[in-house]
Amino acid sequence: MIRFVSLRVLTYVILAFVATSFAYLLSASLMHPEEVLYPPIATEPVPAATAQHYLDVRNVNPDTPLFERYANWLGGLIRGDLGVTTGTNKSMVPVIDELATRIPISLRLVVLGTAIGTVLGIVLGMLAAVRRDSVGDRLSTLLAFFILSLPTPVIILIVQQANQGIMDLSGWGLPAINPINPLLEPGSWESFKYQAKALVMPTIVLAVTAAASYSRYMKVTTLDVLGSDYLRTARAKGLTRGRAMNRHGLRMALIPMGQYFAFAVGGAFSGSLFVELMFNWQGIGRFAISAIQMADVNGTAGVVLYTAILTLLSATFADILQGALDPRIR
Amino acid sequence: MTNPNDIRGTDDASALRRATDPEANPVIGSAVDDPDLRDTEVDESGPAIESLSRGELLRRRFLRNPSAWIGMIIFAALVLMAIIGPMVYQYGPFERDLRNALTGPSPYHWFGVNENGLDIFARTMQGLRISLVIGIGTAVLTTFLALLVGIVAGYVSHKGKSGAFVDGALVNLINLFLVIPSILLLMLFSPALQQASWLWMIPLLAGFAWMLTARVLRAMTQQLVRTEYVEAARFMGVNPIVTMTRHIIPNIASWIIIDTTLGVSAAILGETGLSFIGFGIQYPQVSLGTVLQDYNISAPYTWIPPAVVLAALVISINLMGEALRDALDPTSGSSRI
Repeated sequence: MIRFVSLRVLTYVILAFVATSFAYLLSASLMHPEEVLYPPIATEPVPAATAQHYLDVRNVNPDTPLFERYANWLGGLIRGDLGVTTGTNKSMVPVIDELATRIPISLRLVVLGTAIGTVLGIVLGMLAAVRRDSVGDRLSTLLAFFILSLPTPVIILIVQQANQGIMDLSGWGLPAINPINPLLEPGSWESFKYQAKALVMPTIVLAVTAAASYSRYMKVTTLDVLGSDYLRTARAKGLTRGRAMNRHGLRMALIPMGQYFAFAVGGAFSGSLFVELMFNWQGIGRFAISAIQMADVNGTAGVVLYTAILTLLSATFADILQGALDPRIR
Repeated sequence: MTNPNDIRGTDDASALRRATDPEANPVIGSAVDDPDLRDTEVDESGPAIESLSRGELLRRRFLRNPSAWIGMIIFAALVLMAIIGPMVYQYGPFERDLRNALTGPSPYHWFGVNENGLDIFARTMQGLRISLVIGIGTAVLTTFLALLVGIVAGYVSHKGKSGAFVDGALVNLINLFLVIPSILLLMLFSPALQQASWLWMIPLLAGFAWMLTARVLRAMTQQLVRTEYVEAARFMGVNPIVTMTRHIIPNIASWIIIDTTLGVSAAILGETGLSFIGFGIQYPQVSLGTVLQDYNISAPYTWIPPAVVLAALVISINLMGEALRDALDPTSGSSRI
């Protein structure tokens, strides 16, 4: 099992590296952070020497060959330096600092939403498959069908509008924007309570979208397991339906889900992008949008590195889980 | 597996049997059909045994499904609305009526006016047009790309080292695209291409959507390549392209049709999401995502009409796709999602 997991991890590390390099080369060739020095953005001419220095410091000089810039960036990456923000943001904040302040905000959203959504989806999908054609099965299948037919912004709008409606009626509601109330003293109980309340709606959105797709996949894999020979053998041996399902069925049904989970975190990232935009959270998704809008090459590469590491971690987690579940690997 | 191109039914077979002389060809011409040799006359006037061609069977199974009808009716209504709506409506998508800004539905502004004074009905209908064109165009192009890559990879994968290399490269490419969220790459490319034409959205979305379909098509092709008739065609020296179009594509056609249908809704969702964050369809055009962008929580009519139209569009396409899946693959009912 250790051999299996380590081999997989190595593949993921290579994949993450290739993905980030690809993203850097792509954004460096597609974006033009030097435009900030020319009209219409710059109102007065910039001296040539100043311009060169400005571009060299940020490693975005178009006169330097693309692969030399890439090599510079790679050298920084090994030292743990992701460069500074470029483009219309002239403040030159190190990307790593920017990511460090934003990752905790995004991560609590993604982790909580994915965890709740996965568990909910697996339980619902399994129940729907076991109690096939019951009212609950029909209802959950229909609900999953509707949720998967709606784009994430519309789901967010429905949740926000429902909250607004409750607020109008009863005068009590959840905070719709900002994860942290700047007026409250940081670290105090009030501030913590506000943060917890602010987390509810975004988590509902992410969990519901994740649960909808997981329950569909889980239903299919559970139905496959229910028709399998080994489960019939277990029943023939004298186990009750529930015991046979718990001891033999569930484990096998979860194995294909692991592989699906590995790459679903990328989906959770794009979901959290909409959530951060519409709930006004200053997280990674928000940073990604602004980085691309203001031609921030290093920032974009940093975001891709973050998503690649996130996928890598979740894929490794899924593999370890698979190693623990699947008797053929141990 | 029978040849799906062979549309002859049992009627044709019995006609052939009747026309053939039993002495000349004892296999086809049966003595049972020879009136001289029959002991008793079979009553021919009874109801004829109906035989159905594959297409007819599919059509009937599809039309028997109520969700197919619901999907088709909603979809047809939306297409008609998209065509006729902007023609008869008195406001354009960019005409400002600032005097009535942020007012609800009225006889003049059917869906109301948003806070910039833009009429929501006019924008929704125009957006529906664009979203429909992009959705259908992207789905067709995606299927074409996936078909090309998937079938070629599946076909060459068993052909020695170079084939295995091409195949492995494809699988790793798919995994690579799963690591980088495609929305980030779309955001990178979109602004550069939007300056040229909004139609660039179609190849752009298709370029990031073909991977998973290609993987499935590759696996299906790999199974088909091992069948006797494909092997026979290969040994007879049939051109690989002819083999692919004549023997492989017809066998996976049903899956391709389903995937194209469901791909339309996926493309629409992708396009509206991208437009919503401001990286999709831009100013001289308007899409459903751009209309949703002007939402105002304190005025629900600013976002509910475009959201309902969008949901109805995607749901109707998904209903048709699932009905098609049931019609083409009756066994899918056992493990339907």
